[in-house]
Amino acid sequence: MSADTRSTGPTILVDHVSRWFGSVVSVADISFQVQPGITGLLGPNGAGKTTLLRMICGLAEVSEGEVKLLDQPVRNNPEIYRRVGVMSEHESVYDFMNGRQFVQFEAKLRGVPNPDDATDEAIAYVGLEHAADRPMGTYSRGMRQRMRLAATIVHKPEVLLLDEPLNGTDPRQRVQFQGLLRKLAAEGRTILISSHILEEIEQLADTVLLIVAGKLAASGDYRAIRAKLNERPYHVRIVSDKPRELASRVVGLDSIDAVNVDPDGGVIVLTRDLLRLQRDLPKLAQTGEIRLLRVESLDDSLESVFGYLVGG
Amino acid sequence: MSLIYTLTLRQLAGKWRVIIIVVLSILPIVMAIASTIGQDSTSQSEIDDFLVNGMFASAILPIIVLALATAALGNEVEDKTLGFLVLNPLPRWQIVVPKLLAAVTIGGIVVVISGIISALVAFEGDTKAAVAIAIGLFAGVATYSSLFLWLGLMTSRGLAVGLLYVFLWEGLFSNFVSGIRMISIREYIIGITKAVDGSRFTSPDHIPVGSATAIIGMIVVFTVFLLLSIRRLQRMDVP
Repeated sequence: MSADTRSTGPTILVDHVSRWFGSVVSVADISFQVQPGITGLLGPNGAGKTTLLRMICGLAEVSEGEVKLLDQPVRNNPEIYRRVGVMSEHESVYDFMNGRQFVQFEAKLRGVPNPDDATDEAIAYVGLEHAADRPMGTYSRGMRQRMRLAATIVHKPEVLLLDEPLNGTDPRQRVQFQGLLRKLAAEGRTILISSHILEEIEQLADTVLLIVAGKLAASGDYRAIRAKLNERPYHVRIVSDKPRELASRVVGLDSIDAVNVDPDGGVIVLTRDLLRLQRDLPKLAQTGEIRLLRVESLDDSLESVFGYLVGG
Repeated sequence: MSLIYTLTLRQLAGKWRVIIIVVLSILPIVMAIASTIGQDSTSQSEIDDFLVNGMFASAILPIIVLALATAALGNEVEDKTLGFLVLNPLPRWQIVVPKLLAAVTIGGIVVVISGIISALVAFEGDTKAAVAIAIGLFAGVATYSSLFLWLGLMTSRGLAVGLLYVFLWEGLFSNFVSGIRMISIREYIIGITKAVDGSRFTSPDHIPVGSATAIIGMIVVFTVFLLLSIRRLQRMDVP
């Protein structure tokens, strides 16, 4: 199932795009280009990812700026969907259809020359031949997402726009889905996938677009962004049976910038070298005969990561 | 277009919607049977007016069509499945027209059959009256369908807004304010029915609009709201 690639410029062009609803600005002056491969659109819930993706695929109007797919405007240009596949965040399907009917319906609407064969091929691609004749209302979430992916790729699009496709899938389904996306990208497609989960994108995308509060906070190679993330200070909360003794000992470690004892008896340390703290802490506890009950990072949420990247 | 037409027929044939529509369509037949019992106290013109104006044009027809046409596109919006249709290489009119045709098909079949049976019962086998009612009602189904299809795209409360419109505008105002009769689908239905069978459908206190006004009015309403639906689908943010 190889992609038909005919575009020379950027596959996706977003040029100073904004979108507002009344006085609320959902997306503010975002510009970027996307090339073939997997690109992750990453941001916390409510950051504007879905609005941006909906503008890119033509479901929503831009208030300002321009969106182009394959060098063509996308809004009110239905012909573009012969070359583009979109999977929205909604899990809704026509429940009365079985999987095969659903994929076939989409194939026929897109004018696929041999819809029956294309349907079989797409369903085989997502590995759901065994469930193809069951009503979609009886599918698990993961199966439903995979069948929706089959419908999205049935016409072999060059560009795939996927809005939170891994939502609600269990770990096994997620691995299966990620494998499918890698396979599709390896065939030369451009895949833009949105997610609010850092690890999902980390495992899939080389290039990342970070959206925070409707703005593009960072973009580029995932590893470079990750490296920047590693330099940031982390707050770590340590719960032990001897908090004051632990605090007095831990303050002497080179990896520690600051130490506080919270009212609940936890010791909160600020470190720029998380790995070194992980090495030093057990030794320190052993020599001081301190029993460590819990060690937790307070900065793992995506919001705090984005906050750091945008200087918050 | 046949794919979306077939899909919509299937969507509109949901169990509860079918039950409501069938029950509503049986009501005029029951009323027609009732009207044949003890006819001495009711004049023929009163029966004519009650059946066409009171039952079909004012209540049964618009409510049945409202339940169908607002759902034809409105349910796609509400269920968030509209994307499956618009994210395809189809001009928007190729989505709107089959949706409208599906609503007209189901509404037309149900209302026209109910109208013909009611007319044959009430008018003691008068086929000309039955044909007049069938034509008038079918034209009414098409016109209301176009209006309510648009309404379903404009608001998620299409049913409630549509009911208000039917009872206030079509049922109340157009009955008492003569100027509104010129812009009332109910009046157009009666006008067309009267044009086919001139011997019936006029009560002393209800003179319908002329056939030309009725035909032009229906064509205008049908076309305007069909175009508005296409335009709305082109411009709206699809959920």
